[in-house]
Amino acid sequence: MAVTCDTLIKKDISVNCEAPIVRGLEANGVIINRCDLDFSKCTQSASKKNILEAFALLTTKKGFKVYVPGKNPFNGTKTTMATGAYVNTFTNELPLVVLDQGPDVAENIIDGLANGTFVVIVENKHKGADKSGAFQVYGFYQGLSASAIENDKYSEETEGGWAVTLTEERSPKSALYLFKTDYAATKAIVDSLVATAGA
Amino acid sequence: MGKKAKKEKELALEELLQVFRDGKQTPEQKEFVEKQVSKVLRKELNYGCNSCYQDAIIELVKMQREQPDLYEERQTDPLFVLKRGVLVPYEFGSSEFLVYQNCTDELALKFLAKNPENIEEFDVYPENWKELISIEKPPVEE
Repeated sequence: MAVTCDTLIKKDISVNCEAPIVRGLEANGVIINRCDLDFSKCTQSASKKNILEAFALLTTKKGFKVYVPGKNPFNGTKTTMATGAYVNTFTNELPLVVLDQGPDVAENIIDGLANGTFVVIVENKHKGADKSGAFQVYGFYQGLSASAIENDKYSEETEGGWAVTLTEERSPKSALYLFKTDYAATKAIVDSLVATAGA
Repeated sequence: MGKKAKKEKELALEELLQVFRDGKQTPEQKEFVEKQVSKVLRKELNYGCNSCYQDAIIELVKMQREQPDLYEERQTDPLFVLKRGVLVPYEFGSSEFLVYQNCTDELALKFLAKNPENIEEFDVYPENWKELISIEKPPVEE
């Protein structure tokens, strides 16, 4: 075990002219029950510590699609630093909307979201020059859990659907990405999490 | 499969398509189409869409005609199922890769013949997988 952790910056702070910063997220994401992750097979990149190269699920388990329409999907998603006595950590917030209601939604989505712990993968609009910043993983370290769930029947935003905020506290890393080889290969990994069973 | 049996299957799907066009489908027929779409086309049906059952049957007929081997393979449970969230490259630096959704038995054997240690990445595989890859492996030219 290292006696001291590497906490130095290693790069100039400047503007990315090659791939200018773009705000926001794409409309499609994936949510996974955290207990369905096969952590023994979730491998970190040897050269880049904030990159996962594999994100395997346990046998028979699958992820679920999250589609949030509109101009600003997952609006309010943010990471903020939380100061600690000895180490500083990060808090991730990820709001999503469920534009539906009824017994099926209540049982299969909302009740689960209320008490479960999750990992969510979303796609940044800003993907970076090599596209390694495209798919960002939230909840890998501590798990995302619901910090707010609301169903306002006269809501201007959800039109009577559900608004949910998932939060992860005390994540040791500022951000975690999924990337293997290139964008197409990484997208194939993300798609495999939700693909329909062949058998 | 013989030509006659293949033709019979095609006809069965076309008859089923007509049943849906006439709006005379039974819940069992709807369930059959849903299962076939999941199993063979590896997609999910949009249950709220009126014409999607007909579109799905047309897609099934097309696949049966154009890719009969894949259609037949997907009728049976696959021998090899890769873990979700794992990507296996054919070889170092190769752009060809295997993931859950494109994993056919044929491809799995091809990839495993190249790199048998990747068997760890599979959720499902037959006991005799080593024999199967030795059959798959092309003989070394002298």
